Amino acid sequence: MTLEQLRDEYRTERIGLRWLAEVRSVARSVTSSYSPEIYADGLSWQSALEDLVQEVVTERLLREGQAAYLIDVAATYDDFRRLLARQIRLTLARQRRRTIVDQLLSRSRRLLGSDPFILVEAPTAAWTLPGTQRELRAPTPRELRQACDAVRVFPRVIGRGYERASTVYRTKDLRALLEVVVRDLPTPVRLKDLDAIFCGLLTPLLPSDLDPGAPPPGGAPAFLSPEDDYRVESTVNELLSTLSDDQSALLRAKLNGVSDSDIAANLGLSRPTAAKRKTEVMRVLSERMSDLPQDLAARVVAELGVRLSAGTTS
Amino acid sequence: VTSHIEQAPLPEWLSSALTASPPSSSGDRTSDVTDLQVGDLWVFESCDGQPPIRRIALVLDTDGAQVHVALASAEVAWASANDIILPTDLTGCPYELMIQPGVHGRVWWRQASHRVGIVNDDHLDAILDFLWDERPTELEDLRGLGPTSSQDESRIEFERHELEAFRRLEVAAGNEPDESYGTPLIDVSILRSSGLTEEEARDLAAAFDRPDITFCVGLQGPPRPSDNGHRLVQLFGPDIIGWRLAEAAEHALLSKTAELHVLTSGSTAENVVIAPTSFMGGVVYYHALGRRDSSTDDFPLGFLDGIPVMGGDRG
Repeated sequence: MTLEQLRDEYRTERIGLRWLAEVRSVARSVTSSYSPEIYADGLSWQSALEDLVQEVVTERLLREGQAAYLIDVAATYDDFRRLLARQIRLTLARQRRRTIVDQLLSRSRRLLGSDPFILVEAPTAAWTLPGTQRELRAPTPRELRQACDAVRVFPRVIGRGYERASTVYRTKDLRALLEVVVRDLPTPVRLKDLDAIFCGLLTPLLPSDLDPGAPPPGGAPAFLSPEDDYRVESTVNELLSTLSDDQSALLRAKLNGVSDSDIAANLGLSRPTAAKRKTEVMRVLSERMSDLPQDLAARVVAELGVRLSAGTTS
Repeated sequence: VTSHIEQAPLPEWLSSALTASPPSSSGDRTSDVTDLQVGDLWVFESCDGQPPIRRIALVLDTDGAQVHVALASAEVAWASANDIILPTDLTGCPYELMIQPGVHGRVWWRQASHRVGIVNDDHLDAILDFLWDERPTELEDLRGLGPTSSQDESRIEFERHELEAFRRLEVAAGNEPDESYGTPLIDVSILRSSGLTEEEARDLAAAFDRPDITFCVGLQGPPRPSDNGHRLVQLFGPDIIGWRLAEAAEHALLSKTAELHVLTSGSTAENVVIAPTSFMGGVVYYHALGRRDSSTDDFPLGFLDGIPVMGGDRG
């Protein structure tokens, strides 16, 4: 097979039998390093390969136009196969993320069924908090983005690389996350909105997807002695009582990865002014944490992020 | 094998899929390079003597034989709030593309292969504003939800791949070191970020008058024609090396707590490596090759000379 033959086929019929043969060949090669337990519903790849091929061709190459992308940027036949392999890995990663997000949605639905959440029909099932007035409409992309940013700092359970669907969030963290989302969005929260937020929070490619042979990331979290734990807790409390509301809001935004430009826009400030205020917050942090070793300082910042996002500052 | 392939009928599911996803009218996909215009999305090909690579880029400006472009990635699943997604109905391109503010530079006109789409003037102006750190309302709905690089290890990997690919295109533009300048002085005295005017930056530089340090301004956004001809070392830019570092440097300067040796060419500090990619017309361009400590997995946290540093990587 040559790249020119594949280009010719694309010009005349887009995806024909030559392309199909390439997809099958590359998929066979790619899946050899992916566990069928995780990525093929426990079936052997021999049985599941054709489903994967159809998914790649139908969704990625045709519906999302990636076949045209391959033709546009592949400079050689090897390039074509490499790009095609990338499409197949993305498809596998997406399927896995879908499974993980579906499980999170299922757990969320259960948690939303109890206090403090209130079910409203608007017109599909949606949730809000007691005593809040909500606009009966869908959230805008900007509002969803802000909700995403508000909960990005919530701690995740580090996957061990071999689960089909990692837990991602412990139940208490998931409940707190849902509270923040329902509190912050100016509309009732639908499962569809949570779906978008979870997809935004979860990276489409896990490191193990990029390099299936690599050891899983993370590992056991560093142990904190009771004394260290106390130092972290007291530093966090001290900082939270020191920072003004504006400073807390700014720090929360920074810890959630919001850019200076967006902070300035959200606070109605010029960027230099926002940067100056941020510098002041950093100075406060620097002073209060100057005695802490770096690993404890990192813990302080992590805990600050969660407490500020969840609104539990006392 | 070939004749078997040619004689076999298409499977029914594939015929249905082809019908369900008709080819998009991709607009004017001409390959006449003289027709290249600002706002076009073109495929550019490297020509650096290595096996060629092709990448799509948005044309921001044209200048003689060179074109100023921003890399457009098809991997839109990575798009964060600091990136712009270009949907197919906006460009006429059959697939979505993503513009990352930090990844832009100059290539030769002759590297252009063929056009794949066009961005209209209004959106192009908004994108340029975005690259210059504005937040135009027209682009609000086109920003992604994904993690920024300070939050996600694999996003960092993705950015590294993108930068490496783009450097190959840029190197191919022939931006070889200008011999007349000899080895460029790389020491950095001032990093202009967070809105300091050039005058303010110069004042700040004067406050740190050191004969062994070259005046340096880190600019956001695309280089401007007015930069050319100046003895200006341009860190290109904070949005590539990350605001975390840029702001740390600024903070360190303001508080007089740190030497800025961390930005010296080729040095490694806080796992940041900065290396020159080109030296042209008195302007030195740099790209960060790698950075970040993977041990702080979830939080945008770093330390520079004892100063806690955090924040989004892009302006």
